[in-house]
Amino acid sequence: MFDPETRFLVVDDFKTMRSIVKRTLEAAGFRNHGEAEDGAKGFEALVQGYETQRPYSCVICDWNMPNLTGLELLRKVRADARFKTLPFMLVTAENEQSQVIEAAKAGVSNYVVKPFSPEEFNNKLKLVYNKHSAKKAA
Amino acid sequence: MGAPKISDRSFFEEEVGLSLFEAAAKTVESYFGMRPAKSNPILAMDLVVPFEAGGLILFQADGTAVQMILGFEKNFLFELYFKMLGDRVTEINGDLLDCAAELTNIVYGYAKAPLVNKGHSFAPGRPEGTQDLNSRLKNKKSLEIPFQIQPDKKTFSLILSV
Repeated sequence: MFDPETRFLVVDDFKTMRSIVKRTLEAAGFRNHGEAEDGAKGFEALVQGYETQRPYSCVICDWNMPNLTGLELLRKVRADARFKTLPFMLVTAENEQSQVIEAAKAGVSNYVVKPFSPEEFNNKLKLVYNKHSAKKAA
Repeated sequence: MGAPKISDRSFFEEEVGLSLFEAAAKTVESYFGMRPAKSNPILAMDLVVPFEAGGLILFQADGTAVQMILGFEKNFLFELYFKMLGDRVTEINGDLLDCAAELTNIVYGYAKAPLVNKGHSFAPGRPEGTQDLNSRLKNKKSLEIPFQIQPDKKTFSLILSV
């Protein structure tokens, strides 16, 4: 699983869901997190973290947001050499086949559907970690 | 071949409406740990509801403009907020309204996914939290499905207006 010092970026336009994700992370032992309220601000936070040498090591991002959606942020992240291998999990209220395919094509690490239990969230997070660990080892 | 269009028949009898009602029950159950019971539906123009707060989303379903409201009795919303976030609130504030909006977002998304997979089309707006439910029901034909957690107490309702 991720190191307890892993820095997570939580991106969601609703404070409620940001709080739920942060609390779920904290309950799992991860206390190092930042937040952003839309995709554009999420990208700014990633760049700022990188430039100030406090990089984020995983993004947990809502799908539907103003300014830049979760999918658009994912594409922007994957197109940027600094972040293209960054673990990126989408949190979505929607679970449509076409969206899942789109997200997979864009390089999402995994996704979790709202409403989720802490167990579901942590299991998905483990899968994200395993996927990226395997890629690093390869 | 796509799914039948809801505009061809009464919106409220369609699987779109039924999916939304089921999604509301399941979403509340997932946080509250208890499945709410549905009461008899109310169909009316200019519906008036007794709720102090709720979430609202406007969307297009197969070309029909729909307004969906999740209206809550405030003490129930306080309890739901606690179940979701672990914090107690004792008054309606911005955080509580944000929670109501997010619940509305979850219900909409939960209902939408299987319907889209069946060929229905949706175009969503952005959910919002509001205390001003009745003015949003004026001049609209609405269907209210009340839900109860305790017997004889209307706890929350899903209200669809077209």
